[in-house]
Amino acid sequence: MKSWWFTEDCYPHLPDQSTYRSIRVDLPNAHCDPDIAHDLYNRYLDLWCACDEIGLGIMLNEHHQTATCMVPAAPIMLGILARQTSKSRLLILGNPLPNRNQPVRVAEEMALVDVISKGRVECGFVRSVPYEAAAANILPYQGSERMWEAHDLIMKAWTTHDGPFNFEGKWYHHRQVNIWPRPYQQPHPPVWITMGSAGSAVKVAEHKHVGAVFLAGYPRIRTVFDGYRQAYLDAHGVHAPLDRLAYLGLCYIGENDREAEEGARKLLWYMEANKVPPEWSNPPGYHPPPVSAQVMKGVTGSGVPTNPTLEEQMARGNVFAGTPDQVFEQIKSFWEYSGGFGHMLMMGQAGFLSDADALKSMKLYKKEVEPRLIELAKNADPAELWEKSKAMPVKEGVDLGNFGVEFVR
Amino acid sequence: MTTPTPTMRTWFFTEDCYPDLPPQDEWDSIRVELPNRLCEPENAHRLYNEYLDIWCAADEMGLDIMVNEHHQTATCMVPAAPIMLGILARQTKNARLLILGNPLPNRNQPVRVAEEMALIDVISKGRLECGFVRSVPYEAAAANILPYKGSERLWESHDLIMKAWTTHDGPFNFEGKYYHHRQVNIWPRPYQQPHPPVWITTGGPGSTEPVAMHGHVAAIFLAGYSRVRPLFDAYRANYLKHHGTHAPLDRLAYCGLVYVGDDERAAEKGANELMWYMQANKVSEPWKNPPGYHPPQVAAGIMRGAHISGSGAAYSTDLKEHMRRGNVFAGTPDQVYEQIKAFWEYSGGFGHMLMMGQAGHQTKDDTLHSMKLYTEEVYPRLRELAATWDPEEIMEKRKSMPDQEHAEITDLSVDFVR
Repeated sequence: MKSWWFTEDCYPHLPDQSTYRSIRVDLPNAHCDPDIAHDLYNRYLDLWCACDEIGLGIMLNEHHQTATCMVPAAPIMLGILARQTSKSRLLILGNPLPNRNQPVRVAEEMALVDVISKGRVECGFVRSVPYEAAAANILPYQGSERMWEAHDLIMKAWTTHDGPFNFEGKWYHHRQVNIWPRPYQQPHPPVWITMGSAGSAVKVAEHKHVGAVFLAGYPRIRTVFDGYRQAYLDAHGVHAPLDRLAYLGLCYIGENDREAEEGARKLLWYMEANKVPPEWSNPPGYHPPPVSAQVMKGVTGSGVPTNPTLEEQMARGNVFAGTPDQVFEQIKSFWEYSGGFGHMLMMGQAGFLSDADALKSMKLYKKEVEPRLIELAKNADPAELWEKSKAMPVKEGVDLGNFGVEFVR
Repeated sequence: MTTPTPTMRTWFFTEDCYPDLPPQDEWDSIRVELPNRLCEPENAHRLYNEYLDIWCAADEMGLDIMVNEHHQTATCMVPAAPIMLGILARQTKNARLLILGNPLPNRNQPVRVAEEMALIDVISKGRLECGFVRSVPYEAAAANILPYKGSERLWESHDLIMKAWTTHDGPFNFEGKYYHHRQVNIWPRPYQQPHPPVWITTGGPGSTEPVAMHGHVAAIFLAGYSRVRPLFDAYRANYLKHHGTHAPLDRLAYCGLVYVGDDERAAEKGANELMWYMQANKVSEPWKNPPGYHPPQVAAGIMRGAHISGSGAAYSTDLKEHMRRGNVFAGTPDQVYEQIKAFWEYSGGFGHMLMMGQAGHQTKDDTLHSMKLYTEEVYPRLRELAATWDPEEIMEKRKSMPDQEHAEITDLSVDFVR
């Protein structure tokens, strides 16, 4: 089991949420004080550099026109970390391909960082969330198709070494492609793709890329992971190794219940802050019509829950919080139910959570949780884990009392 | 209000090349089509870190920093200058950080450029100097763009970026001839208010007008004695026309190759290493003159076999010739100072020396040594010189210096070019 530490690099110093309609797209950048932002970027980079020293993988991402994530160009942060770290692998999850209409430039940026880092890049590609469509000024319809075609062009750019090639796709044309530098890792850096449904998992599995799922919780994790596993088995005739699957949850470890609860509540800012009106969260063309209709009817939300309670999110398997023992048990429970996965992506900082608290939790995780997770996953057989999980009844969540977690009862 | 004393800033520059190539007669073009299997990743890794080390050393020495980008070429291994700039924003403390430049016509998402620049400006705490370039002909193929009307696209993209940087009250829409973008509201916004300083490279007198009108810095590369006056004078005239006052010294920048040695032998060796930059640029026809890049009469001249460099002078790769032309400044500290001074006075003065101080196989140690000599023994004198600058006085003085194509050999006082 590999662990990756993540923060979205937010700008939390905002007026009361009732004074604005949306944190995304149209919250005026007058609210982004450059001195405060300068300080924050450096603190976030310091936290990632600490991962390198402590021995955790590094994960970062980008978003546009939002205070939830101040990084509109993740490759720039990735480059800084490539130069300043020496051991951690560097996961960018991900490059929002449908929103970047020059895939060859993406290939070049990733190759550059891979060489600077001496082969430590793990390259994620994402379709990107609905709110990004407005900021990127793109039509979100068929975003997945565009993402995969851009992916194909990037893979070809990375792996062609004997001179220029032409690419004439449905969405992207580029002639005379011959990128300098070429990636450090051969044949190419590992690729990760985020998956939101069983259907979207199929191509990821066919390519043997790592499939990453964010905050699906008990209610949705098996649908998506099983979709990947079945597609992998169908395409390759063998069971997907555990390291083909990744799960992201908010994760806070404290020395005692009080610390853990305080830290976890601060992490919850990530969900509580995400006030987004329908014009940005359900742009025409992003969701398939039946889904879009459900969103418009108010039957399902689009994206992250906006009135989360800590208890509910922990019960659902989106937040893992407590003492080291409690967190290990929560992750183990989720891991077994899900059929197993090889990458724990932990959002370990959000909102106003201080650097000191984030570091403390990071160190506790490394020292007292990660070794046990590594042990848990060590000789696990993917086929067996899958069978065991199928035998477990479907559930929407867990009783936190089972883990001795008192602070949310 | 007192006018600030004019000064000279020096910006250390290297193109970050990959020099370890097979002999030139084994391939047709260093640009676009030279297969990337020749770019050995372990070697490239070593080189990037050395180049970054050199720039970090520049910061410690009190020099400013300049980076650029090029695509699909061993002459410059950086296809995304914002990534190198971000690293330097984080790792340096004092140096201003010049990116010269973002190749706007080749990047079809100007808002992303605005975002990248704002991000770096904030990380660096307001040290960004943001250059925009039309980009050289060879880049058209690599970017897969039609190079026709590249300058028009550059300026429209510039307008969108400026608006993105300076609008703070919520989203705006931009519907231009080449670029459309709605709901623009970039996070973060730049550190510097109202926006980072802007630099534009200019290659012809006409192209100086919009630069001067906006009050941006105009940068000229390797124009030499033969072209510097028409270019700088055009900028000055345009500035006066649009603003009613003389262009301050810091509106003009000149890029040359610079090597300072302990003695002439060391200087000659170093300067010859720098000449790789000129000697390596073997490019095949299709990339040099892509349809639409040059105006028709220039394109026709090239097709007829006119072998011209960017400055319009006959193509050459000879060190002596380039020193005479005012493209290379090399020698002992005194000699380099005198060469730059002569060029500076001839040109009417400029406030930024863009010093290409590393190229080809030149080692990090040799580069650092030249930088040190420059910083200690040339730079202070150039600053003193610049402090004496007065726009009218220098033009008066220039009247005694007729237009010339190059410096006389004797003027250079450097034995290795006699």
